[in-house]
Amino acid sequence: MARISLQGMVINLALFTGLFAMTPVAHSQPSNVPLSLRISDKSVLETFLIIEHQTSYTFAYFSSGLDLEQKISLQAPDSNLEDVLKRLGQEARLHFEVSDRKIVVKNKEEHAKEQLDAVKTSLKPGYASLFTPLLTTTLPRFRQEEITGQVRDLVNNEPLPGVSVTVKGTQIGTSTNVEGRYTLSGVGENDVLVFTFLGFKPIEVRAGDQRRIDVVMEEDMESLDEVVVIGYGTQIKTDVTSAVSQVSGDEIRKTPTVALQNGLSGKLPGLFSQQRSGRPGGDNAANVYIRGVSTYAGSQQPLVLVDNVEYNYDQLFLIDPNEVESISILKDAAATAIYGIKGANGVILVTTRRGEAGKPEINFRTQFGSQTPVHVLETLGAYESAMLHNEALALDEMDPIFTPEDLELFRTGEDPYGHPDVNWYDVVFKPSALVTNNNLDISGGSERVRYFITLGYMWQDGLLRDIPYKGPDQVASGKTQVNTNFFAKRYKFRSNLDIKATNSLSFKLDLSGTRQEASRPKYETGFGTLFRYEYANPYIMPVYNPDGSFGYANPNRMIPPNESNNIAAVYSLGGYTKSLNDFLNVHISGTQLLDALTPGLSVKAEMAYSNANTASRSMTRYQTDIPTYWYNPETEIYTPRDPANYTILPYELVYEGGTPNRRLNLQGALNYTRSFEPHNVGALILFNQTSYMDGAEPMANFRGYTFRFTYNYNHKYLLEVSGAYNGSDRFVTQKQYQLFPAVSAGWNLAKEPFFQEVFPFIEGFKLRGSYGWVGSDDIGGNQYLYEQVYDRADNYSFGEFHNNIESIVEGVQGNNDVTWQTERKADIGIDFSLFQGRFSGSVDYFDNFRYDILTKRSTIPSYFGVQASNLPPVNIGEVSNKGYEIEASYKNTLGRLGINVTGNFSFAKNKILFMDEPDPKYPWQRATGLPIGMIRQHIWLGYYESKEDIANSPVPAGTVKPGYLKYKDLNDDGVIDTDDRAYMGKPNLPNTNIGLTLGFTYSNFSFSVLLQSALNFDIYMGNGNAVPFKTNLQPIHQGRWTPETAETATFPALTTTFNGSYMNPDNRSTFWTTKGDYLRIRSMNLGYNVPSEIVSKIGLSRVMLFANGYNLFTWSKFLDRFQFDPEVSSGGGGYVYPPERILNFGLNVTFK
Amino acid sequence: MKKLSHQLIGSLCLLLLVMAQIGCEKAEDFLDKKSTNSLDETTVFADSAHTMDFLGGVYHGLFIWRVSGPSNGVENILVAVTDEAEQRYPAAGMLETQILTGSFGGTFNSYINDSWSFLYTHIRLANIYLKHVDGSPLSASLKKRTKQETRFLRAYFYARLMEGWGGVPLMGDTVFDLNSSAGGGRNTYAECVDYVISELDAVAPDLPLTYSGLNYGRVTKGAALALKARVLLFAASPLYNGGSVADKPELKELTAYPTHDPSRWQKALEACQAVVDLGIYELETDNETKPGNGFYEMFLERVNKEYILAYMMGPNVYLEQFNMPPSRGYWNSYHRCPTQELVDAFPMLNGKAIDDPTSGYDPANPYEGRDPRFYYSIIYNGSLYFNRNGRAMKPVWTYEGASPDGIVPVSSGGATHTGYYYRKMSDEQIPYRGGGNTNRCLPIMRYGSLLLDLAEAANETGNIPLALDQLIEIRKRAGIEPGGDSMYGLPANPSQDETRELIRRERFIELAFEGYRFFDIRRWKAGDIIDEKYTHGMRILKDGNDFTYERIEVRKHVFKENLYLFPIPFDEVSINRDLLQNPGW
Repeated sequence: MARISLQGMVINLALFTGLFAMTPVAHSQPSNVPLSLRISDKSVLETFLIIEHQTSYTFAYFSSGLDLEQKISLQAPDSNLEDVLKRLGQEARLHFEVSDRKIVVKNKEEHAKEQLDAVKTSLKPGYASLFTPLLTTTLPRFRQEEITGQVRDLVNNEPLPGVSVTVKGTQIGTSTNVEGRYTLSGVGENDVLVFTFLGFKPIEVRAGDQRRIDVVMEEDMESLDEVVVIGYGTQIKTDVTSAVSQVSGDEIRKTPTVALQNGLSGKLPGLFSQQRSGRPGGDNAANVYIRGVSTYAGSQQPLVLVDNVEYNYDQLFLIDPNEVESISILKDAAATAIYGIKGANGVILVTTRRGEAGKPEINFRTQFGSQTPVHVLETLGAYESAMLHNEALALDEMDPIFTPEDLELFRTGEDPYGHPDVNWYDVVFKPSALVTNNNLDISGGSERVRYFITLGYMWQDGLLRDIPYKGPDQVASGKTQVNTNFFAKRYKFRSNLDIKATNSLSFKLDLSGTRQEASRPKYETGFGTLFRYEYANPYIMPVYNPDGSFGYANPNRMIPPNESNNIAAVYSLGGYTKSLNDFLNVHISGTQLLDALTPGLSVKAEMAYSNANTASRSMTRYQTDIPTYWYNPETEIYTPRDPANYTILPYELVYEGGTPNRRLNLQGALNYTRSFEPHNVGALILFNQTSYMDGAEPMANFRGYTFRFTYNYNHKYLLEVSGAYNGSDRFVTQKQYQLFPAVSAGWNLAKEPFFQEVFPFIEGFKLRGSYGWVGSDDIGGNQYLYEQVYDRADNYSFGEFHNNIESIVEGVQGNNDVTWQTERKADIGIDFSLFQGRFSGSVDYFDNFRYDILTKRSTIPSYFGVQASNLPPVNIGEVSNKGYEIEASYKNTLGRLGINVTGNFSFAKNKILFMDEPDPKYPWQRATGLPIGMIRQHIWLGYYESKEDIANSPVPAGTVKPGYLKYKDLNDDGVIDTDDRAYMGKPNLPNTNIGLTLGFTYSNFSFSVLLQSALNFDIYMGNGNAVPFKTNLQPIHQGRWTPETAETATFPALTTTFNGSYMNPDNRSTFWTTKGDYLRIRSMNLGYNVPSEIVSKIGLSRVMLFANGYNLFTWSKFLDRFQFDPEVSSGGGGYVYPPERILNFGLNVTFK
Repeated sequence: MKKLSHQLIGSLCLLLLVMAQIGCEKAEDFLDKKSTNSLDETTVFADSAHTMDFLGGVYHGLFIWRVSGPSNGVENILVAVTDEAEQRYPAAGMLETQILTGSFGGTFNSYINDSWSFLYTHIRLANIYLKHVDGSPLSASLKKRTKQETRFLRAYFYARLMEGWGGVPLMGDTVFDLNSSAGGGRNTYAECVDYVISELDAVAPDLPLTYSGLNYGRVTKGAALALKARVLLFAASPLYNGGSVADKPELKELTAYPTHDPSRWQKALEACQAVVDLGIYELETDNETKPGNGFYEMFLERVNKEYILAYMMGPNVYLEQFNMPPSRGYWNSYHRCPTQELVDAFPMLNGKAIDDPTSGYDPANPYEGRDPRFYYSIIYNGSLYFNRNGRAMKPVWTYEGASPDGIVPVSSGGATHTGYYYRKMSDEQIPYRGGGNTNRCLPIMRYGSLLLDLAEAANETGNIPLALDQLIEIRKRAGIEPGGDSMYGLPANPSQDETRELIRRERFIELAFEGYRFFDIRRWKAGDIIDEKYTHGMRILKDGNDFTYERIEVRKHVFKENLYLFPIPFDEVSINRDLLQNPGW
């Protein structure tokens, strides 16, 4: 039996959980605590209450079998606590341990036993007693049914120890043990249980007839003063006046992607990413945009900083999600102005994890997943393809290439060598490949030194099969074949140290290194080649001949282009190219408090150096050197593809050093933060300088001065002025420096009494707005944009004997007037929080105007003689980009069920205001006034129905037959030509992005699913994707137009010269352009915390099992129609390594 | 106080961390331009070697460029648009397909655009050179000569533009600043001819007749005179001599002389005669080694008496790598398959056309006893060609079913569609990858073509004997037997029309694959040679050691009227509305 006394609702279990800090109290000895008692025939419990009443000490019970109802008498006037406890112990056979202001009560026998156990297990007695599970006895006078239960927190779904559980309006209470469990007696049906814990929102539950009450508690963000990472610092969320969104590392890790960028999709309002390819180790970095795009020239992608230091995108790809503490995106001028000339596209801030003081905690996280392509292009077999080929030839008025006998053999498959039917994709690629990621983190530290050390190993395998060489004159097998598969390996370490050198001087020493190996077959374009009709149609050749040699095409039927060969042979024997990437990063910073000078002042210096090195090693042979044979099953004769090639030549081994790049970043800052209640002021002045060296390119230098001043009145009225005075060496001296200022203000309306009166359920409501200017010098071209360059060009030969000269020609033209692009950004927003934070969110509206966009003029006729690529950029373009974002989340608990729903909706629509466009012949040819990324295309009307229809309709030049695509004659001149192509449809990037996370926790289980959708964009098919007889025939081609199927046709009539006809997708038309809109189950995550009673038995503190998935389902019209992933770039000329779907299983083990 | 000093010392140390590294740099230099090795206008023209290299860049404008430049049947894909050759690939968005089907898709436009801007880019380079050469450290004589070379090259680029587009904007000596106005329209065809001729007249007198040593290959006086002849020949030809296909009057004078004037042939004739009168060129002739051997060797000799202007290249296997049959080649990715039309145009060794009953032509043995040029231009069924495998001359088999060189349908991409492969200008000893290179330069203007120009101009001015003399010269060198009448198979007294046909046929075979055919057909306004006509091939069946021959249709070509001139790039017309588009585009 145990109860908690009035004041002792919260027992400081925090002492060993480390969850929150305890107010340090001067230790007073119990002997010094005065106490005066006169007890006669009162219960022990009552005695405790009296003692608690007189002193600041509280009693806690950690033993069973305490008889607190026994009556005692004790006369101790003018005594002290120590004395009283001693006598009380003797009287009631109790043992007391006093720690801090807590008196732990045990019975004497148990104490003795514990002492013995403690010695045996070498545990300190104090700790041992505290770890002992709380068991309770019941109070006789309230004795009813016992109620048990467990308390967990919502976010991590972990047990919460030390939560106070009391019966409302009574003194009955207890607290949860380390497993978060409690048992409580004496609770009536109408009683209400109150769960309270510091930093969490209290929960009340009516007991009813329940015998088990589990609850999930949710952190009270407001009370914790949630901190948001902003540029060069942090801010309390309620004080933020700029547009910033943040996501935690835990949240990112729920999406099992290899590339960090891909894990962000759908999680941050205003951020949009597109994964272009799934190739291990290379192309799976996504394109990332913040608030859409607002320039058509130069980089559209945000600046990336990791712990304050700029990273390239390929370096960001080397960051393991495991290292990440949080990611912030900065969206408006107030947030980005301090990055001045680099901030116009928004900023992504990555913060890495750091250690916390405490015992060393070792965390091991391992995960294994299976990758499958999101979609594999489905192609027709040999029989269907051959039929369609004959049909197309007939339409072309040419002889069929296949006889009825041929077709019959294709159909029956009886002649696998003469009439093969090969699905080359299946031959070359397997359905799935493994990916694994393993991390070992060690963190902890003392007050002086804290550390976070992580080691990681990631291995992502590729989909290529192991295609054995079975040929007759096999060279020693080991030398013939190497691993040609795609794969990526990433080795990683990071050590983040925090050192407190003196009470006022602290250092951060961060060291991280990554080595990545990414291998791919020499002919990695295979994904495209596989679906090319000329190279790999289903009947072109068998994979192997009867003698095991690789097959080749029957030259009487069709010969692939001569630079190609049997694709299986090429992948089997073509060798590999492996790129090696080393990235080392040293980051040192020191902060000196100068509170002796004036409180709140500190100075900081920071130096970061990174070195990235790339190299490649390849073992390759030319595909045309690989011997393959056409086997004629009738004559059984083998004819070599190349009569000169009978042997497998040795591999060519090549090592190439890449281009190393180095970046040195230096920062020095003065920081001042002080509160003169109710005035709070802050100031930051920062110097920043970066030198970036990329191979032999001239050093790119950047220097800037940054400032930020903040003021608020009682956290109610907020004002911030910030900016940067930046210089870039890309411009002439007079145009190097510019000031980019921003101002923002906020009003925490909810802190106003009148507001609280009217809306008592709203505890947070802030209006904020910002306005400012930010720039961009990341605009491509030469390092010195103003410079005129003459280039060495083609060779020319003079002389009676060859005498080569390397000619010189005019290159890029110079322009001394070039300068940065500038964006004027305005933003207004509301942050709100309702019903004790159960419902919270924010709404933002922005209006961005980009001007001085460096544009290559397109109104310069080419007869001036300057090639378009050599025109100098001129600061003339203007783009407007407006939109809004809504983010809302709802969290609640229903008993043991925790619910967590977060949604975001982003809309950004841009419009080109000026881009020096030649005056078009027809209004529909004008791009100005439309969004960036629109294309000019024909308007598709249907199909020409008949010869009469062709005769009576406008037609394009060239061959037109019934069933061909019919386009609209916009200018009514009777001819379909480029004049009839209009800017139509939607741009190539979505203007609407939606992310929805649904999360549930129940008992030890947690589940979340992230839905992500992008809307309002068009994708047009490239030439290499669905053109019959250029690509392999696909189901879409079965829906071709024929006179019989004219009504239901989904594809024009087939012709073997389709690619040369006007119907070629290169002549863009709305037939080839399809809505790109998609909805994806981007990720799903299921976690299970192994109960701690099991975990602790094997000496661990926490074990979590999880399963998650990435890109699980996709709904896309585009995918359905053209079998092409909607995130892969528009107009791509071929099939790329498809983005992957990952099913992943993992284990996370923590021990101390 | 102690606390303060500690804190200040700490701060100082931190600042040193940053400042120590900044201190090493000169502050004012930090954002200034670092020295690079890049060149600019000033550095180039301050150095004589650089200046000459810049001139090399202007020369590079002679390069084979898709639809302009010296043709070799490889890069100049127009070969496969005419009745000379078929292209290998059945579909692909290839330029040839787009033209020969009359569809003119995106590839066509981009090739046309590229050629237009390539030529104008080199005109600009020429103007930059002319503007700055006087300030360069070159010697006075070199300045003078290189300026003349440059002016010639500029005139050549205009001549190419005029062949493609008719009258074009003339830039004069202006190096246009990007802020200049784009206004002003096309110059008339007459203005362009006058400008080019006046430039050539200005530079011709002082240009050297020949070069030796390191300067060999530069522009000579002969080149200037020959180009003048070529431009005047075009100007006299039906399409330009009052024969514009434009219906709008303002377009007529841009695309041609508005009216016909027969005296233009006389000017062309005189210009051709001026080249002959130099007396320094001759047809490379060697009928001793083998009949017509000079015709073969000429193309493999860097220095020869016949080339008037060539695109100079280092030793190479440029043609072999593209054109060899699959059995001999490596890439063999750009087959131009000669047509039956071309094959049939070659006369017999006695010079008589194969349709002449007295010629001795045997349809059952069609490759016997033909004009020696035939054997140097075409690989046919059974013709011997060096094979690296075995290192010997071995037959190439193009009969149906022969692997890998046998004829395949036009719907396939693997081998010849006509039964023939191209070999003109190729070195038969060096199939590609066999090692070795050949000293090939590509002819832009050669004496043989000049004589044919002369013959044409002579015939059109009524001087038929003079025309026949040129044909005899050509045939003599070709290794054709003189015959009893020493007419080398030519008829005795042909009419002007008959002579015209003789000349056209001689051009067809003598200049096959050299890039003349397409532009000849245009200037003759003879699109019907191609339009709606099938190209033909020879389907050969093997039966034991015997062959049977069957002429087959390969592919129908169209020649739309708008193809007489290329379209001016679409953007160009958008930017400058005064730039009138060519008829039919």
